[in-house]
Amino acid sequence: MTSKNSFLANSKENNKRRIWVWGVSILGQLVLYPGILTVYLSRIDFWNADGAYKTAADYLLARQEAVADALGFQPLCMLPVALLAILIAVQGFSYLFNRKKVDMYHSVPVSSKKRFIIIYANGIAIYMIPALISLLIGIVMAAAQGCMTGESLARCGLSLVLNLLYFLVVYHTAILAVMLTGNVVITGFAVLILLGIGYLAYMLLFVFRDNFFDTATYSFTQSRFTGSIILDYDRKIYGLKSTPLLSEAVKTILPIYGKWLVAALLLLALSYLCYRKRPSEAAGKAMAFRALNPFIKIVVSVVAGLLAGYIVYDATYYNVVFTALSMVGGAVLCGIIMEAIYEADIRGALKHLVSTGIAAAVSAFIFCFFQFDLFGYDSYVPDAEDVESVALDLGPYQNYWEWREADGSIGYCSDSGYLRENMFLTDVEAVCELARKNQELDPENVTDGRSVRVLYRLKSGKEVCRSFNIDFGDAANEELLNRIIGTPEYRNGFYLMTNEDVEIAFSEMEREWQVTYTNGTIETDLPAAESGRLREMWLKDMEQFDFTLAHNNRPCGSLRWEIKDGYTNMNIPVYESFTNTLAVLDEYHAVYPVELRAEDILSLEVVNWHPQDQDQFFNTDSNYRGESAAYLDTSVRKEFTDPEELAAIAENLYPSETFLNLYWNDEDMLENGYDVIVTFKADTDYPYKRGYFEYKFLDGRVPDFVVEKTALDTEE
Amino acid sequence: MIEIYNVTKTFDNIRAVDTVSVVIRENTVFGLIGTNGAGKSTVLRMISGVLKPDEGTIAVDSMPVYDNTETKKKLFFIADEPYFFTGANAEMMEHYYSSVYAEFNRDEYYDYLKNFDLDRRRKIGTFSKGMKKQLALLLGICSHTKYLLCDETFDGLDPVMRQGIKSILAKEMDERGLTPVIASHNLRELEDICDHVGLLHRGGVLLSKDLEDMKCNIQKVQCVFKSADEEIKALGGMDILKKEQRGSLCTFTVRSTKEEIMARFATVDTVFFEVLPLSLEEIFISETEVVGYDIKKLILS
Repeated sequence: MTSKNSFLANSKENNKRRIWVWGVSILGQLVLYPGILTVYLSRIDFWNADGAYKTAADYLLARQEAVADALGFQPLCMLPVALLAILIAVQGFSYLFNRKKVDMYHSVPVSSKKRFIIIYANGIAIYMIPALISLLIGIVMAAAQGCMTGESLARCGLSLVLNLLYFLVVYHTAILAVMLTGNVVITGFAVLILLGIGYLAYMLLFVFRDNFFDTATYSFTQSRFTGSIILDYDRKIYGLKSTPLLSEAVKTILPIYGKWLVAALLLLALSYLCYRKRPSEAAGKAMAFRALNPFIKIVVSVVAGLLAGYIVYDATYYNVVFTALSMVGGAVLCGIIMEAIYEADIRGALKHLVSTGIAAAVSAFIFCFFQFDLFGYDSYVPDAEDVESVALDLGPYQNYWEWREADGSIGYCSDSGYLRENMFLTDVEAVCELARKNQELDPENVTDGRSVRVLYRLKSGKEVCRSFNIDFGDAANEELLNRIIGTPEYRNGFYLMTNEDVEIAFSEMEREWQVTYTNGTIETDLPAAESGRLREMWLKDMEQFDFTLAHNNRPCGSLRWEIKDGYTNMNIPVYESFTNTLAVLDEYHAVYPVELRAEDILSLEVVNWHPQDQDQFFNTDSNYRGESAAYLDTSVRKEFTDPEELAAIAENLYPSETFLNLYWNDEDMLENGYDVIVTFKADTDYPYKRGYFEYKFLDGRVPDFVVEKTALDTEE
Repeated sequence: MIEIYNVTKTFDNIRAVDTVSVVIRENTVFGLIGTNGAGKSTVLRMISGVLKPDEGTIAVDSMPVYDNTETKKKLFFIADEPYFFTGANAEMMEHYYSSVYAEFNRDEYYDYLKNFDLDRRRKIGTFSKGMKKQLALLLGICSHTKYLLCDETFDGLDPVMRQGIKSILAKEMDERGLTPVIASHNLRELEDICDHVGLLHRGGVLLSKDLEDMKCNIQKVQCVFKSADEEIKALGGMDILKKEQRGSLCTFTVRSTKEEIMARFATVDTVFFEVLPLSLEEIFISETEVVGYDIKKLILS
């Protein structure tokens, strides 16, 4: 009696030896899908019992969202799926580590290609079949409870494919690690290195860049490269989870599918190539391909050197000598450790010193690259001819909200993110000239310095970001800044309210919203119907806005568009020269001077925080060392009610509300060592809001009597 | 026929097999003898397609073996430490081998298991070393491949089992032309099994000959000559490999046929003479001493 040598028979035999892995996969995925779904739904029920949902519809919506969260884009999948992929890959191909097994498997009449396909395909089945079944159970559970929607179903499908691709990338990486190594311990290291070295190297180089180069900046950096599939998954899954529209999620996910598929296929091709080339005698050794040993050693040692350098740099408070020594030393140490591992003998550590030396030399070069700026990173300014457009971040952004065309919502975004998407300055020459003039400015010699960030969009498609200081007090910069700031491109890139869709969004918004004008202490709500006209007038007035206007004038108030959700609001400044805007506001009696009227003030409480004294105590008194400065209360409070004193104080105050900040002129910056709490009289003709109002002294304009009366009594 | 031609294999700067050339004819039992580290296992692993030679060629029935499934269908390799799946029993191993060897004969396999008193459902992990070797041999025999490559498989088998296996091998050779290739470090293990012997030492082949030829061409003669002239007359011109003398009793190892020696001594006046059979061990000692090796140090433990 004979048996047919068929693919299925071989596949079945292979699966017999992987039963425990099947078990782990089934158990893990049952926990991941139906298990987590049960927890999520139970949580909703618990909250519902506590009265968290007012209507049955709210409760149902919460349950539907819980289903989408549990079975759709689920961040919790990140680690289990990766671990499962590694386990399946290593278990499947680990026969290569054992000579006895290799002798058996490689001598039987099964082609290596067929063997690879069987082990590989079974691995995918071990992941995919339990995943499908578990997801199906979850879907049936959700549907049975009436909280499965078509959209949730679509999200489940999209997520399943995404997880499969993620699994494949990690799975293929782990297979590659197996192929490159000869025993399971080294494979473990190889998996960690392959999955993490890209990120580690990338992160360390960025840290070095930011620490060694004066013009390096994180702003505008929108790197999509993480160097690690696991971090990439984490980032993508959170992005997709927070994408409200399914169509938007589909649009976002398709490029990810493509990218991960290409990565998975490349890794698979590489793994298969290594499998075919792998000598059987590699079983049990550290590494399978001797020819690759020096290369791997150099790469890992250099990254280890970078890591050692970073740790020492941080620990020694930026001592460059120790940093250089630790980078080179770290690379050498790692090199000899790796050699000992290669040889499986501590006495082999000093073999192949050439590659160890190369690793040390590369580390030394990297240190010199950063320390001596070998390629002129800090002095780089592109030729204006090579630049398509520029975004310039001159200061704190007005607010952090962006208009989302996809769903018509307004949401949070970073300041540099907003400028990147919206500011396209075409007077590139002005920005480049500004950069050239200021990039190597010594901060010590600057009277009114500002840190600015610039994004050059080169015609080649490359983007370059730099940060440098500008002296706002230098008249030579004024003309260049006016050329930049006084343009529609700057205004459009800086103020969200220049986008007419935003006005439309407000006018069509279902949620309650309000336009308000304030001078800091008096707020006037304006009719929503005037929103469009106000915006139009403000835009007209903004045509005169440039650096000179902003530098020489303080805002007299601000307009605020506010959604009544408690946290979404946008403010735009109004200057005294904005006559069109002020005319509309005047129609509603909304305009009041920003300066305080002393006769309206009942009392002023000045709080002198004495920050310098706090620092002094903190630094000199050993009793305070190790304690937080917050415990050292050096503040002195003094209430003023005398009319003369009130008048002397009031003329030097300015509302501390950030929307009226005085960023553009250092001379008008606020004094941060003091807070002034104003209590108005009850019978004023100005409609002050009741309660406390925080003001600050204009910088350097604290009256002497205030300084004296709020001095710290050091004898206490 | 397995043709090994100028094959070399190096592991980490250690040359395990150095330009080895051997021909293994069909339907013979080929014994591959050598000390530990002589390269026997490496040669077998190369013949079975596990290892790829660095240089030279290996052809099985004129076909390359490495990465060639068709050739591997003709081979069954039993490693020095045969691998059995974790937790497997004899039945489970049959399932595996019958899925990879199309000619695997299950009925025969279970018959043999019964004859050798091996429990088909007992976990192999609980088997003794000898039982595992028996099981590996039975799996190999029942796979019905043309060549059976055994690495140290017979070492340690008890005489009864050895006899049983020998009988099966003889039967399979007779019925279907099986060609066993048996590697061992112990000459005495192979003496009663092999037809042809190859001696490996330090990666190279010291000799490769038919056992029968060796036995026929080397004789041991014990005699007492009446005079020195008689001795010269009897042995003059003959290839004397070794001479020992105790008193008047001389023992010669002579490279010649028994008939030729008998004919020579018939013309000589001796007190006593006798042509004795040589053990494989004695033949090897004689052969290898000629080429300058002390075989006792090499393979006689």
